[in-house]
Amino acid sequence: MGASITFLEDNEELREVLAEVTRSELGEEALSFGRFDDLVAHRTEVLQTKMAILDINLGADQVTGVDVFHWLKDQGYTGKICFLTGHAKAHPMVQAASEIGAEIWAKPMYATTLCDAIRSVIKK
Amino acid sequence: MNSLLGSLLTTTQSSVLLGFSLAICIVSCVLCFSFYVKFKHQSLLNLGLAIIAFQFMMLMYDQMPTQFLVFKDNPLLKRLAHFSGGLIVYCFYRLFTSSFQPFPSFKFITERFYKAVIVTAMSVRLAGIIYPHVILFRLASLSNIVFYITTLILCIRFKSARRSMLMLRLGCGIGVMGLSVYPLIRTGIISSDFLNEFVNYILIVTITAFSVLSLIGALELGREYLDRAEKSSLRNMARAFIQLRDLVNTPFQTIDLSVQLLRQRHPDENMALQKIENSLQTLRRVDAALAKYESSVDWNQTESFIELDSDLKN
Repeated sequence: MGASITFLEDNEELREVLAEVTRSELGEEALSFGRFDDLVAHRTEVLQTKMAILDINLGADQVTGVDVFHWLKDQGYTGKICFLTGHAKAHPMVQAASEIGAEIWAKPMYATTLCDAIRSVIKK
Repeated sequence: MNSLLGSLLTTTQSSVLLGFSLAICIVSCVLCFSFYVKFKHQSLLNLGLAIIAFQFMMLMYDQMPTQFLVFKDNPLLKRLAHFSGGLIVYCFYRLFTSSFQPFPSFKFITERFYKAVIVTAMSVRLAGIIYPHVILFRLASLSNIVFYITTLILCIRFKSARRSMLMLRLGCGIGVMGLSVYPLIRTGIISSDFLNEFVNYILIVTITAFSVLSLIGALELGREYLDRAEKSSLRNMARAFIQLRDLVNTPFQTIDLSVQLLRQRHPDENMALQKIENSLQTLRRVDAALAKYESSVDWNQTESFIELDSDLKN
């Protein structure tokens, strides 16, 4: 069975835990990437997932989650795209993300809330 | 300088007025330069320079014979007179343009026109310093009058809600108004002794008013900058809070999810996991408290975000 969720998160610990929680709590496989280049390298698998959860700030001198959002849309991605960010609502990057109409989840989310939110998308 | 007041005031009264004016000027200058050192705002430096230039010109002219145009025996004094005239034009111009920025909303006196007036006045003064001929002195007086009147019109047109700007505008307006009557004496247009003394009296009153208003303006500017500095400190503090909060949110999320995993895989460690969750709950309250500072942050200043972010990642 292929992966149903894509995670793009520059923090290695969180990236691994997210994938593990998805597998363990939801019984779903997940693709997780720390950099946009890695995500592009797995373009085919990524486009088949039902949901993409992107960090907005991927580090200095890196593309932002908003850029990745546009790339996914350009590639014809039909799954749901959400941002999971630790930045404040008024932060310019978060503002840019909200302007494109994407759903934004604020870190730290309760584990159960996060799982329920993911479940509600992929079980549709 | 007492001679300027002539018969209108007694010697004692004029001495008190001039002493007062000079004292205010000194206080204003010290204040302006001190604030300039602290706040590095050009208006404060230009205001201090304009006050010095005004006083210098007054002291300078006081050393001249009454009918400046006809004294022919001291070219050094003539050169100094041109220098002081040029200095005051330059200082007022700098003060005016740095403080008020009046041009975008003003149709008739454009910035280009105002600069042309300044360049003309300064050029004539420079020529006067090199070759102190009587014609150049007349031309300088004329160009100065044009400059003073133009500045006065701009002062009248200028609108600002800031008290410091209002005081400076009033001071500049009164200052240039007084200055504009001065060439009337020196060019010999006014020959009546009484009117001559009256114009001198106006000049003394205007420099005193200019000094007082400059002092109030400088104090107001200083107060505004202190307020601004205080607000800036608060904004920086708020930014640091939000910055820290943003940086701990990811590890926070990691811990929360890890606890969930541990709870599923090691249910026997319930007590320890409960302790971690309780601690996380406390941290959530801290997180929520820090979120209140979001609205105080100037998000256009992103430098420190990058610095702290990279410091932690390194």
